[in-house]
Amino acid sequence: MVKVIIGFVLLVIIALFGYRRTFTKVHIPLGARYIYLTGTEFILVGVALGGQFIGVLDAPALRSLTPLYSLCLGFMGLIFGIQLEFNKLKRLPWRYDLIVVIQALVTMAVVFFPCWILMKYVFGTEGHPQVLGAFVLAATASCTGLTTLALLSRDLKLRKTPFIELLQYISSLDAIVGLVGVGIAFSLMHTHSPFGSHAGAGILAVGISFAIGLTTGFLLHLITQHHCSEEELGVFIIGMVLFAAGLAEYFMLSPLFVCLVTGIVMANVKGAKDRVFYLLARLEHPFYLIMLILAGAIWNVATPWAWVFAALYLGLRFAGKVMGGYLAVRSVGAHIRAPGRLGLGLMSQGGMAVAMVINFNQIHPTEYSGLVVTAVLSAVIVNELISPTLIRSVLLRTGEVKP
Amino acid sequence: MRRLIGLFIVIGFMLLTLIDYPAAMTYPWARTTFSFGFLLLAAYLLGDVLAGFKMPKITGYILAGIVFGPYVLNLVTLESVRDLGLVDDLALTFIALAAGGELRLKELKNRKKSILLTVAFLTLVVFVGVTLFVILARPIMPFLEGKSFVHVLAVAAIVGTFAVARSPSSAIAIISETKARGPFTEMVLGVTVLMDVGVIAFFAIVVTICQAAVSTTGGMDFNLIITMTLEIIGSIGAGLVLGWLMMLYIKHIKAELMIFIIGVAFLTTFGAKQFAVVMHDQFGVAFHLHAMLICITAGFLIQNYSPSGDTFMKKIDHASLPIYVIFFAHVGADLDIRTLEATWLVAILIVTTRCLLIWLGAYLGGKIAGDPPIMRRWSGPSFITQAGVSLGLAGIVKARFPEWGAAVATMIVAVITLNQVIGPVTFKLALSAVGETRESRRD
Repeated sequence: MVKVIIGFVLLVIIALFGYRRTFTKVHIPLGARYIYLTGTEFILVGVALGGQFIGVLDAPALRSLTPLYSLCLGFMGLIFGIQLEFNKLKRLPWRYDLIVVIQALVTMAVVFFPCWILMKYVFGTEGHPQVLGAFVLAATASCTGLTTLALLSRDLKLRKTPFIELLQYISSLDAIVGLVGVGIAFSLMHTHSPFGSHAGAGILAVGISFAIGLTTGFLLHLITQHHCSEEELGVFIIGMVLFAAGLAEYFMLSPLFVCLVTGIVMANVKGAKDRVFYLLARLEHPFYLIMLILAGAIWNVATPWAWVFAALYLGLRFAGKVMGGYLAVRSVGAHIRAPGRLGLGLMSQGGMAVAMVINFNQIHPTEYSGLVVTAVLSAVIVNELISPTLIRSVLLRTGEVKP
Repeated sequence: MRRLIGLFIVIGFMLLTLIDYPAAMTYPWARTTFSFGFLLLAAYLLGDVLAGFKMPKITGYILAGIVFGPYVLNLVTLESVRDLGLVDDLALTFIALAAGGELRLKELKNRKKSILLTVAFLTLVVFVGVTLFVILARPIMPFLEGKSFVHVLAVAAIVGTFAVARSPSSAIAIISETKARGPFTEMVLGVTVLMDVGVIAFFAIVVTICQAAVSTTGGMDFNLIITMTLEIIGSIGAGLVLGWLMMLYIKHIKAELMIFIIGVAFLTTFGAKQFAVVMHDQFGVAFHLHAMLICITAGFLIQNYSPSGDTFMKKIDHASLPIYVIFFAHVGADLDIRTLEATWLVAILIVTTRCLLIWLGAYLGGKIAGDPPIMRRWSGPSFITQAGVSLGLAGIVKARFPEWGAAVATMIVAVITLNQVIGPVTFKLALSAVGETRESRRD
């Protein structure tokens, strides 16, 4: 109990000061600027607090903080979902969506198969979970973070050209492919349903995921439709996120996916969606930093081979993004002007990948979870380091930035 | 209506979680998470429904906890309730900061006579009256059968002491909900906080005397009195230090005050617990600091000895709603309602007697202090709620008097349960009657 309290307090304090430093004050040495501004260093703070070093956030403490994990994951899903307002998405050409989906799917495919083979034949993991592990790696690889691009746009004072707009669109949206994939994959892992063990259990679990997401979405809409104060709105949102995410986790489903559905429902029905979004946006950064710290705390490198695996994953993701970007651009032909090296502008991995790997480690912890966590977290850090240079190189080629 | 429908849907989901699913299909650790969300939503929605009937919202929160908690519908299991203890600890210290911050020295000085006389008469009348009642009601208390008069007197005195205790957390929640302001509110809060501190010392004296009276060796052990007195002094001292540190933070840093306050609330709970562990492990002494008293002192200091009192209270007010909701829902869920099964008749009689005596004591105190008639009439109903401290003290009785302590503690918990439900309603009624709620001020 004492460890949990210290852990929680440290998390809040670090998140608070980190929030102020990374998101509101920017007087940071240039070298570490981007990695620091995206808050990625909080993963390392989590590592320091975790079981391997200081030990405040050791395994029992982390288990007691399950509601906080769930709140962070649900929150990430909800805030992503509430931005998916169909009417607004329709304003941009449908080919933009095609690019998003193709580059994400190609990246997933490029990462999934080699990872699966490696996990099966080299690391000797067995059974369904190994497929899920490889799938989670693929899904996390498909995610692109938006923060680096946003910071670069601000620093380089970029004009909002169609290509920048496209990059922003892909970065803000492509996580949905991985998210939906993870949501469905978690569900399909089920071999049991309330009616016992049968082949259709996975499909039933997909239905349960949607049912929880849709119902909690309508419920949140229903109870926030009447005028309510900001404090009341806070109670409803926190309550509903905890409820939906907790139910999802109880049934070993993805709280990210379930809350994504909740958010999509909220976004597409008339009601208090703007007020909800405003409140979520205000709370986003502290929650995000807490999530990064929690991710760092679960990072446990059990074998040195995990680093080799992580390097392979990093390389596969790089190849997947480049290939995905190229194929996506080719698929839309001359309708959208974009360079074949589009994928180089999509290397930043962002918080959603971290959320996915936390989710996986929490619901399906096995002896190889450490491999997956190490691969994703180290890739997130490395990608945040290299992505500003890569984005800049793409922008130089397209003439968006002068040499 | 929409919110009522929402409540039923949430309940429906919770019922689905009660099905005995195959172990391979569920992740049991997540039960606490959705139970937390459920309690937050259900308690708020029920509170909102009751508010439509002019009832205080916290009654709804408490009722939600009782009804959906482990002792009635068991939608929220005992394990989840225990896991949520962390949230409860945070909430209690946070509420204590709010209670301290609501005590404005200038107002208290103006009402000094009224507060002191009300405390004196409430303590005297309620203690003596309830003690006498228990002695007289001896035939309906099976655990007193065959006991000597000294034993009966000891039990009666201990129950009498409990009757004196009240709940600052409930009082502050009602004041916050109704946005009550005015001399009556100040007087009630002053009396409640003063009695909360006083009852710890009073309890130590009564238990020490009772222990000496019922022990076969006959000697009086003053350890409890000394320890509890030192605990009170130590807690106030720690509160002054904490308040001073918080004042420095507000003056020089000020950043994210709300999160800072929540962090302080947590750290205080942790510090108090850790202190008790160190005292026990290193010095072999059972010595506690009271986190609630520390925070009341700190809040009081900030409100009255720094220019940031209002900023501090504004921040507390912003974060208070979810904290009150989950705290009182948890209090309700934690109340072992089954105790009423065995002791309902005695509990109802004690609650009725206590209510009448509180009314009489408060009336007499107010009359002698020269309070206006309307305040005298309504101050009694403002002092009925009981919670936290009383439950903690019940645990001490259980440990100190193995022969009948458990039975008395069960009876006390039953009484507290009833008072916790009735108290907020009567307090809100009183605040409305004297015209100090925001609604009545508008009228």
